[in-house]
Order: sequence, then structure tokens, then C-alpha cells
Amino acid sequence: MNMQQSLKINALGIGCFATITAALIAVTFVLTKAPIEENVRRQKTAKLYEIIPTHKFDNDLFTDTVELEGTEFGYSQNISAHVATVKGRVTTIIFPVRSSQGYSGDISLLVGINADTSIAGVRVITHTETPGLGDKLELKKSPWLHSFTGLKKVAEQPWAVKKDGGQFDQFTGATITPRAVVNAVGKSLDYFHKHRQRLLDPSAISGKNSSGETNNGN
Amino acid sequence: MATNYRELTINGLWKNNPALVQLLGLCPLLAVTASVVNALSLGIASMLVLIGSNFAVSLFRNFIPSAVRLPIYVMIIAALVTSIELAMQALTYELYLILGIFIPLIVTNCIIMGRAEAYAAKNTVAASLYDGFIMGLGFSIVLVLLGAIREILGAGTLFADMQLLFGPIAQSWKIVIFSDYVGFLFAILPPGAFVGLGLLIAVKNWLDQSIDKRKRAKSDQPQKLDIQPLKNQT
Repeated sequence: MNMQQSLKINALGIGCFATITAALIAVTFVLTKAPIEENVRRQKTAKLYEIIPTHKFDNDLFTDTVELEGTEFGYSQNISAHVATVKGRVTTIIFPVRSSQGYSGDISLLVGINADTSIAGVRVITHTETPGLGDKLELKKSPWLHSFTGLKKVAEQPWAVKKDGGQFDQFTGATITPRAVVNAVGKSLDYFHKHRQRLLDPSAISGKNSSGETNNGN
Repeated sequence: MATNYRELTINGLWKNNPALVQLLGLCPLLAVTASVVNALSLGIASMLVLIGSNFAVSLFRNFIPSAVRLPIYVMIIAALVTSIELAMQALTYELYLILGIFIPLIVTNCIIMGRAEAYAAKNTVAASLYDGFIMGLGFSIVLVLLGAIREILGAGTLFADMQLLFGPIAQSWKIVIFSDYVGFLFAILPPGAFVGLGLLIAVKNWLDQSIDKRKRAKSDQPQKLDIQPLKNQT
């Protein structure tokens, strides 16, 4: 068998198997596309619903969003904050917030703020904090995140962890992680205070009656 | 060539166990074994890929040009892993989020390529399927054992979160071994995985040696009169 022949056979062999394997992936992709999209959506909305129970609003929380400059929230691109309304009035806004002050890597959060500037709830989406020390951010491990709920930021009480003279407990063996979260939530509250008028204007909501992709800047 | 299934079984589970003897696929093995549910899921996923790739390779073994067989094996394995990853996203999305990067990394697990090249390329479809199954089982057993040890030491529980894999019925499977346990961080972090695996390998070697010794002692008995017992080494 000369060189040309063997080249031909090898090329043909690779080509055949490339086609077969690509076809296999294509078929699986088409079959699983719909369920995967459904799962991603359910996963995302589940976190939103944890912050505001479904009976507290009457719009589609997933598609009703307002576009904001992401730099204030630790993102480089614009972010989409989810808006909950009751009879057209804005009741709660959920901001995606990212903190780069974590002990190891970024901490992605959802911060829900009510129209009266109190915290509706805070949830961690992803983090890479040390297991056993910093991971008390997870509600599964510790109820710490609940300590934000209902709080307002007032001048006489510093918004900081206890070590920094504030009101929030740090975890045993981990101060950096709670400090990062407390600061990120505080910053979102400041932003909300500053832009309250604009944020509570229901006409700013995009996504209504449109299929606008929501982009959290992740 | 007649297939010796007994030998295949002994090889996959004990004598040539992928994790304890061949020491292949250590990256996912060490990374995901912090709990039984993670370990079991990665074990099942690896086993499915192993069975699938062994099947495909042995089915096409007479058509694959030998000069380019390795790229073709890689394509087959990568296609299988991608399909399984998509299937996991569709069926067990939470588990997919937990295992994350370690599902696509199955492609780089040397066991799979190793079995394709060393076994499936030379043997019948049925024998290769069985080899894939038993090697995958041997790998999974070690994963689960290590997962169990680390979960008990690290979190004080066993079989927590099994509902991620088996649905709501598994919610009650969780066994709390030490209640009010603060957790042993070392066991959950990577060093715990290394030490745990080292201990498992040590136990296996110790068992092997003591079995060997007993066997030798038995076979030595009738010869004792003729030969001086010079065999100190094992």
C-alpha cells in the first residue's frame, strides 16, 4: 500500500467517524434542548421566588426586568434587575450583585429590595468560599442570610459586620466572606436610595410583551 | 477466543482495579468524592461512557484504520460524554450543577481510552461490553467508598441529598451518624481525598499480602521437610 492510498484510507476513516459522532451529538442536542431550557429557567426563577413568595406579586418576575449599569453591582456589562409589581406598582426589585471581595473568587448574589427600602431577601447564587468556613453563606448550612431580611439601612447603625463595628455577625473563622456580602448588599441599598424614583417607575420595565433575553451579565 | 468472564470480573473489581491499582482517573476521583451522591453520580456517568465507548470501539474494530485509531477513539469518547452531559442537564439538572466541570472531564479519564485501546480494540462486542461494565463498577465502588468515608468524617452524615439522583423518594435515605457534628474540614478538602485514597490502597495491599501469605503457608506445608524456610520476602 503506497502512501497516497493509506492517506486516503485514514482520511476517509476519520471523516466517517467525525460524521457519525457529530450526528450523535446533534441528535442528543435536539432531544434535550427543550428540557434543558426549562430546567435553567426553573432554577433561575426558584431563587427569585425564594426572595419574594409568588403570592406577593402579579407579574411575570422572570421576564419583567429593568436594565441598569452593571459597574455599580460588580459587573462589567449592564445587568437586568427583576421587578415585581402588584397592579402595575413596583413593590420589589431584585438585583444581581457580584462581590469580588470574597476569600476565594467572586460571590454572586441576588439582593431583593422592597419599595420602602427594606431588604426583601438575599440569596447566594454561586461562590467558591472555603467549605466548612465561608460556606455558611448557603442557607442549607446556616440561616445567616436570613439576618438581612426586613432590615433598612439607617445612619445611626453602621452597615457592617460586628468586627467592623456593625450589626452583622461574622462566622467563626471567617470574616472576609460575610464582610464581602454585607458590603455588596449595602452598596445595592445605597444605589436604590439614590435612584429610587427612577427604579420605582413602572414604565422603565422592559421585557413586557417582548421576548427580550434576560442577561444577568454572567 | 473464549472469554473468561470470571477473570474479567476479578480483574476489574480487584486485581486490576482502575482506581486502586491502575490509579487512573484520579482527578475526578479526588475532586468529587466529598459525598456519596456526588461520587455515585460521577461513577455512573463514567461507567456509562466506558460501556458505550467499549461497545462502539469493539463494534467498529475491523473498520478503524489502525494509524488513526486514537483520534477516532477520542471522537467516540467525546461524543458519548457530550451526550451524557446533555442528558444529565435534561434529567438531573441540580446534580449537573454540582458535578460541573467534572462531567466533561470524563473525556480525559485515561481508563476509558485505556480500555478502548487495551481491550475493546481486540475483543468481541459482548466481552467488551462486560469489560466496560465491570471496570466502571470497580471505579464506582472505590468512588463511593471514598465518598462515604469523607462524608461521614467531614459532615457526619451518610447518603445526604440522594434525592438529586433518585428523586423525592430518596429524601429519607439520609443517615445522621453524629448529630450536632461540627464537621471535620480536612476530610472535605482535597488533602482528605488524597489521604483517604492512600488508606484504601494500603488496605487493599495489606489484604492482598495477607491472602498471599496464607496461600503460601498452605502450599509450603508439605514441602517443609525438604526446603529450608528461607522465604522471608513476600
